[in-house]
Amino acid sequence: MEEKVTIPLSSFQLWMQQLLLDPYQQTNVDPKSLLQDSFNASSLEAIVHHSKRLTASEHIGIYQRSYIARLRNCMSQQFSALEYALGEDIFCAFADDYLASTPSYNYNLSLLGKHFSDYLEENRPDAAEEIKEDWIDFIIELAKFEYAIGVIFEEKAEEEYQLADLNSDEGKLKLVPICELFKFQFPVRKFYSDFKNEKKPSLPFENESYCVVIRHKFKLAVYDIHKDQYEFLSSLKKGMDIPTAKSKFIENQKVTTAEFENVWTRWKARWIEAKLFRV
Amino acid sequence: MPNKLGLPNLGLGLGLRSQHFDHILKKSPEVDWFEVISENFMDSHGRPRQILKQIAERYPVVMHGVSMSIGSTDPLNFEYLKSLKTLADEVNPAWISDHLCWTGVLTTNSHDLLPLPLNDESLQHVCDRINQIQDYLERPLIIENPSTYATFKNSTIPEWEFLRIMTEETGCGLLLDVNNVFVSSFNNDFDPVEYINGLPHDKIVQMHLAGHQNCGNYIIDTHDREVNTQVWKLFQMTYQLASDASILLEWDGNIPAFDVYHSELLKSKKYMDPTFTESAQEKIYADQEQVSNPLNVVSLELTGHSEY
Ligand SMILES: [Fe+2]
Repeated sequence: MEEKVTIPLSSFQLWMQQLLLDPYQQTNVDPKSLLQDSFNASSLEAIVHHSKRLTASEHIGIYQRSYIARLRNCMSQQFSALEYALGEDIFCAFADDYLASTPSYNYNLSLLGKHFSDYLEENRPDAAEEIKEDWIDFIIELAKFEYAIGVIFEEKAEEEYQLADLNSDEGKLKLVPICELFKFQFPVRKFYSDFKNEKKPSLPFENESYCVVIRHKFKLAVYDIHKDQYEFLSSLKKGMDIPTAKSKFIENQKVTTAEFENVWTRWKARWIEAKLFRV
Repeated sequence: MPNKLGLPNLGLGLGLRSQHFDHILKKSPEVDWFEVISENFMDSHGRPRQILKQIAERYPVVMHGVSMSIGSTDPLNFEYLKSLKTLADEVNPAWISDHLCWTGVLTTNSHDLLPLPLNDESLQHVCDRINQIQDYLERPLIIENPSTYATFKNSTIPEWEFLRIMTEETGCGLLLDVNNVFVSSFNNDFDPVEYINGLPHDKIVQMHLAGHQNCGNYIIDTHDREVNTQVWKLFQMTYQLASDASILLEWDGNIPAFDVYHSELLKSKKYMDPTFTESAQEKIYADQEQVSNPLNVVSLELTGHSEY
């Protein structure tokens, strides 16, 4: 006759969660130690029923596999360009290791990859080498960008505003509420878009690049910009109005007002068309 | 017509999936109602939530969650409940549902619907929490039977009995997932007919149907294909016992075109007739294990383009 097992629910849950999060006992926490106050619960078989077709550990194995597979799946959806850049196997190894060190603490799955770029930075394979490898810098930038895109997509922001047009008073133009600027060491935006457009890009060489991502009426758009434009838009992003940002730019770049006005007219027209400005 | 707990029979509904947003908005298909995964919208302030608001103006909507963690010994997550309630105030769902399960402890979230040992302690614990949640949400909660892949030696109450007492103690309703009953019964050697007969049929507010994956020795609840014939037969039997429940077909992986999804749902009409018999034999084959539901990720599209 089977002996009756009594395990408090709280101990049972600690035990089962440990089995899921650390199936190979890499943390040196023995799940059994979490059941110390329980009578007669020395083995998995003492807690879990076997069935006609499966042993007790095969039953738990289904949960163990599905735990990691589900989260890995979410990581690969959140970082699809990164997964492509690294290849499935390397991505999966990084993702598994990240998930083991950073389990999810939030019901919101979009936060799952929040610390992934930090993790990659802290665990770069060339950490011990004196000369760093380029591709690792690239994947860190790509991870940051992919995560940022997700945040921009979900972000709460003012939605009811009036877009600027060419007749709007220049002094009153402001960036739209969701407008993020990016500066990269690599052509990250191009790689990302090429991947999304199924162009199968190869890993790029180092080449500084800049882009701006805006959201208007819940749709995202991304535009490449160059260094000067990035500097100018950064001033606006910091809250400067356009006349002040223009003066600052003219001073910093050592150009004449006439020269800059010539360029500015073109920038302004493009950016109004691209829905970067509101009034 | 209002039924159990004063809740309406919404008819035949589909899960709202981001792949179908445009189709639904443009074509206004004749679907009775939509079920949404609460977590896909609660903390999102982007396009999906905007679309949900529009859809909720045209169709009845039910909010189905995967993170309430009713069975967890962690304290209730009131931050979660607050966000859930805010969304409910916005879309005005016919009801809010979640599962008889726990998702994690020590604030960890496994994002899985984990099984509980079913005994006096867990029953008391679950009932206390349902009562607290119902008070907070100011509405009855509808609880779904999860698909399970293990049972425990310290379980002393059959699941159907557990659900029955739970509804009596708390006044909550049931979301009977017929596919989950089939999956759990296969995995854990119980009789699905006995399970369904043992339920309080007057508490079944809603039913779920879904496809699953037979891996040979066990079945995974994948929601990635058509409903299995045996599950349809179980539904046929169940429907005779709970015919005023709202019906919903779940589909979360390999999501087909809207019309394919809808026509699979409409098959349920045939099985509402107790005399209907399916002539074709279904081929059952074992294949590689897929990820079980829930997978609550909204696909993100970047419409932007263009370089200067
Ligand atoms: Fe379900």
